[in-house]
Amino acid sequence: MAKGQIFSNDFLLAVIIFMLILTTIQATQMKMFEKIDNDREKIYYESLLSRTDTLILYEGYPEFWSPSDVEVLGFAQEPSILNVTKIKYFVSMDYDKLKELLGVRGREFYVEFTDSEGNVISDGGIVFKKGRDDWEGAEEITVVRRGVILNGREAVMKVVTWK
Amino acid sequence: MLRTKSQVSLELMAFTGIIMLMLVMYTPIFWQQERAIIFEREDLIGNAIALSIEKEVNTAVRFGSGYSRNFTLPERILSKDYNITIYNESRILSVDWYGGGVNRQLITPKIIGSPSPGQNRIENVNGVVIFNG
Repeated sequence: MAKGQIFSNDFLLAVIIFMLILTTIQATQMKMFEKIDNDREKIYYESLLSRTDTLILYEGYPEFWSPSDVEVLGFAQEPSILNVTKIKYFVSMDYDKLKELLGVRGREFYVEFTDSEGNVISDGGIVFKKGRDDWEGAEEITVVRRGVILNGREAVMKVVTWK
Repeated sequence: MLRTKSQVSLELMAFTGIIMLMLVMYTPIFWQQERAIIFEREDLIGNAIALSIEKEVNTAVRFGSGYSRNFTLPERILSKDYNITIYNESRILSVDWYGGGVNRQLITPKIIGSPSPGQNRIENVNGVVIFNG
């Protein structure tokens, strides 16, 4: 009787099938995790869209909020018509507090308001932009643009989040 | 002859043992990963449901009075039932299921009713958002 009987074709086939099953399970699970990551990104983008909707459709809470008592951010005096004072408040607020209010966890953000020629709007010496724009080398950037009315003129609110 | 046979048998047992050991080692890992996948998927679906309701409310507010629309929400989150609650005063929308939940901020406190799994209708009547009225 040959010693090598243990390496019979049947046994080898069984080992190969076993290893294949393990590898397939592992590969399938990895694929699922990848899909979950992709779906999470999609949800995050839609969530950011919705969050910017909130900013431009809603007056915030309290209705006449100030940096010291704001609970929910909102710039609208009417849907898509923004209140300049609230934007000035926003620009003056603490970055980390704004991150919390905007629901941007684990990411950085940048918000700016530009006119129809793409210049950042300013009023009374206050430039209407806030946040960090050092996103060079960022792993992931999400940008949302919304058309609004500011000071009776058409403007664009750009919200960038990145990590 | 007898000696060779038992040697083969020992080797076979050793290989079988290694394979069994691998199975025992990998099974908890696969099981844990499977649990993590289910948990993540539930969270994603819950988030997607909450987000879709938030968007429905945003759209109803943006369109103004006279707006109405039918929309459908999933019957379950994977295999779990879920509840939707709207807390008007705090403008919080809550989607909860066994083992998880998500909250989202709504833009208006003027909401009557709340959506439920399955078919729903949303209306804006004089600035008040009404679910299934």
